[in-house]
Amino acid sequence: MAEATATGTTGTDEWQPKIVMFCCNWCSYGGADSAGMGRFQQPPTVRVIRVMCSGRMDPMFILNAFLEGADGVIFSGCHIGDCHYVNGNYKATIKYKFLKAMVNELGLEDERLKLDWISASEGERYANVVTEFTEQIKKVGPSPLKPEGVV
Amino acid sequence: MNETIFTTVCPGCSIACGMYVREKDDGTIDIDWRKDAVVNAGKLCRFGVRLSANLKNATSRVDGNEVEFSDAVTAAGKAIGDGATFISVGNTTCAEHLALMKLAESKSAIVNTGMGAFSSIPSECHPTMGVGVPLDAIENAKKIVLFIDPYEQYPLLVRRILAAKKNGATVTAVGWKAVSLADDNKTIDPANYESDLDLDSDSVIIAELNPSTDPARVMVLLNLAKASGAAIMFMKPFVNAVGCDIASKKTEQKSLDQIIAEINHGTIKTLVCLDSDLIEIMPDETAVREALGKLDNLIVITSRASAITDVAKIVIATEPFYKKAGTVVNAEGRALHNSGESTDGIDAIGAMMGQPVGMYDEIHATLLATLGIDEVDERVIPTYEKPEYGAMDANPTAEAVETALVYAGGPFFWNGIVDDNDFVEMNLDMVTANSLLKGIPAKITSDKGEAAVKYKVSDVAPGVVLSNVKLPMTTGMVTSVTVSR
Amino acid sequence: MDIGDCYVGWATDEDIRTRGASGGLVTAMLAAALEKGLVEAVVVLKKLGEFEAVPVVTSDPEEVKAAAGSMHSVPIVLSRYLEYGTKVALPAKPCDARSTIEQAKRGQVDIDTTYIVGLNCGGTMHPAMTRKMLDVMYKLDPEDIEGEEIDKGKLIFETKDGEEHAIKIDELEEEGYGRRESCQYCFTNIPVMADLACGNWGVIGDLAGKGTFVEINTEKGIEILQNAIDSGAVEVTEADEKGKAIRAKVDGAMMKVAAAANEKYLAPIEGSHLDYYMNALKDCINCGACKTVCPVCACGEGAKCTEFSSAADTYKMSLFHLVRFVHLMDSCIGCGQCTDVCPADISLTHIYQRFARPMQDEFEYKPGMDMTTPPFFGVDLLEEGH
Repeated sequence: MAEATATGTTGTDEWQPKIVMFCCNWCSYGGADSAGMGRFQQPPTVRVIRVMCSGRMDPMFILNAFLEGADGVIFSGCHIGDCHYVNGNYKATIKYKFLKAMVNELGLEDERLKLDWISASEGERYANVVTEFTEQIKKVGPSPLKPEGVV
Repeated sequence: MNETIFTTVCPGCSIACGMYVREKDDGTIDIDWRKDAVVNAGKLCRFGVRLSANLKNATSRVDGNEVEFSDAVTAAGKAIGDGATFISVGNTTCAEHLALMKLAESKSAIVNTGMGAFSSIPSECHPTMGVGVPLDAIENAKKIVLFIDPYEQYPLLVRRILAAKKNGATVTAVGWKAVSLADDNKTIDPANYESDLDLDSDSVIIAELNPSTDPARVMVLLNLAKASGAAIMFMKPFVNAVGCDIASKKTEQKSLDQIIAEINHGTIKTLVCLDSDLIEIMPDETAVREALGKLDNLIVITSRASAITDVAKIVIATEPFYKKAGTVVNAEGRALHNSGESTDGIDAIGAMMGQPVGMYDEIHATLLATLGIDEVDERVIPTYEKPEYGAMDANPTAEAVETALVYAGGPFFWNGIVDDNDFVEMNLDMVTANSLLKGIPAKITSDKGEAAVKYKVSDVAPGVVLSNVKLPMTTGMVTSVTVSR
Repeated sequence: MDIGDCYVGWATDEDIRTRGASGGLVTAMLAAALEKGLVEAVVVLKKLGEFEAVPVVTSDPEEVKAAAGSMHSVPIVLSRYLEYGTKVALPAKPCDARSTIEQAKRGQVDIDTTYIVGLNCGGTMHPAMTRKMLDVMYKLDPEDIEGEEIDKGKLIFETKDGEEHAIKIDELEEEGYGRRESCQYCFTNIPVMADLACGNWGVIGDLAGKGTFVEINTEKGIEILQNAIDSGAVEVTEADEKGKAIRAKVDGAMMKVAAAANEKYLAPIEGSHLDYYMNALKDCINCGACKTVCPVCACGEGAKCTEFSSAADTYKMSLFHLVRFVHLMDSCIGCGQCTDVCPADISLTHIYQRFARPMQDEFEYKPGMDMTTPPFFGVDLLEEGH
């Protein structure tokens, strides 16, 4: 995945955002696998953390990611109605509302936090989401919350 | 279902923040914020907020066995003879300290406060070393120089300094670590204090005096205050250090190091400690434990269980601090009264002297007379004066060490309590120079031993490893160490 | 008696009636509740000084009667003082009542055994500020003060010589004195969420100063009031329409004042939000008091905000604070306790309110008004299109 992608460059002297992506085990993580298997190219900016359900979203994960130096955070789960645990993604939706409002009020750019629904078969979509988000983050630049010494 | 509310002060440091302790029927306590307290407007630092979790009541013991209070007192009475040494650093009320002074007197001895610096510095300087600047006056200073880290050591000073800044003051910090509220953080050789710090009579110097402070250092700071005309405040780590100092009338004091040396030498065989845990207070715990083990009689009169109560021959357990009838005098010279009425500590000392119970009133009257007040009123504070004293010849011996482990003691440190401040701080250069890894503890080694300790990268002076927690391999407040992965 | 009924009541004991605020109804009711075994404990404000009162739990009716009189105090966090399930009655300003209800939602307090006797409130004052204000604005010695009241927008102090000294509250607050900030922008003056709503607004004519207006909000409210009447401790008479109208009018006037304060304190931040918040919090000394006194914090020792943040962190902002911002978004009642106890003098309340207000408005949820589950946990609140 270190080769140049169609949409962006991964030249070694260009700043690469660090993006943390929380993927639900059943759909989105499967989607990541599908992206891999389908050889869909994406920039190597994302660090995936698997959670069982998007409902596992905890403000701490997101805040901790930003404090540790993440430039962007994506939380991804099953499409509404398809949650493996029935309504986990509904819970995620509500929590996300709070987190988005908080992060915006705090002063982080709106682009830095995203919630999406990616199913296990949507490999190409997964790659697109990652690519688009990376572009977005490159535009807003490094996170102002990045600690000293983290690139 | 009833509660007793005690109006008291936090026993953490010499600021003596007002607080409430709520005691339930079953003896469990919780703290509450006393917003009308003049010293702190009710606000508390970490230590005060967590007091109820950290306060452990003592149990009376003889030779390790739990006994009745009166039996412990009797045993102590028999053991204390002429030649006994007495220590009270200021962790308890003036009344108890004065009572101990009477007992000591009856044995031809004095009570040591452990602040040996007083003995090596001319007495004309003692008032300045004793009672400090009113906290309100700090808010009105034009310049403030900090020789302490207010965030760690005396946190309730922070809001006073912030208020001073709002009033236009500039703040300089001269210490081991950059202090975020300072406009300027400097590392200055003591020889250059007067030249490098532009102070005048509208300035306030805030420093610390504890049992391990080098007298030469105190002299340098006194010289600085004299030369510039600035007011100087020596903060102390014990709630009633100032009160005990005033009560002791500055009789020739030994330092704690001297006392330990004499114990090792065999000159001291009986030691009586009043709410003074030498193991907690002194930096080299191993050396202290070793010395205490050589005593024939280690007698501890204390309100809380701590390291020393585990090794003492006799423990006389008195009531918790918040329950004591008595007064403390804080760093500003302000007399503060506990609402409690219990006199176990005084009665115990009285019993050892063969005095009848009821000594409290007499002692309290003596205290009022000594302080020059008719009653204890928290809103009354002595007028701050700048007494004259002569400049002194002072050469603080700072050994050139490559890497120094330094303790910047805060309330948790002085009370032997570890909380989440169990890490050391060093600057990034030291971390990279020693190839330390993130998240992996650093190994700190001295002549005495080594330990692996969590570390944090902070803006710390070069060559310094700053610790808020006592580490096993230290030999003093400053220890030469090496740092490795 | 029915829910919604309004009365004017007073203590039958002349001493309590005189010492008590506006007729001593609340004191007499609380004492009677203890005497007749309706509750096992009462929380009262024990007066320790002219400007100082501390909440105390007691089972002694005499202690309750001794505590008569209105005083400034700051919110009571019931769960810190009592065990779950204790039958207790407490006098509560709207913020105290809301705080109790929020604790009930979190299993800290059993709402069914807790009788909340609500008190109207126009705001409280911090004792340290009060003393300074008396010195600077009124030119009075705090030791000379014998009483205080608010009337027609003026804060009036009575000195021992019987003189009254009044200054308009607006004027005081312009100078940085007066009520606590959180009180200034609070819209909840009448405790509609408590079992009873008591106060002196709406008491007119002969009874002014000698009677308390009381509105019944719940069954428990009927219980505690009826108990006091049956035991002979209080007498009531129906409130008249004029009184009710006046009460509503005073409330309306206070709301207007609050609206102006909202404009002042909660105006949008100019410039970088991040700089604003980082700056506000940079002198935090990590005492944890804000969390300890927060009425809606029920996590105790194992809270995420404290477990996962440490003094060893080298982050640009403290995780403790950030987590609290999120957790309080739906639940902060703006009681102001956090600001009072902060040793770095950080104006925490309005920081939390900046995060909380928009969310509470969006979900049309007001914490502490009833037992509705906070929206953060309310999956049922999901609407079409979200």
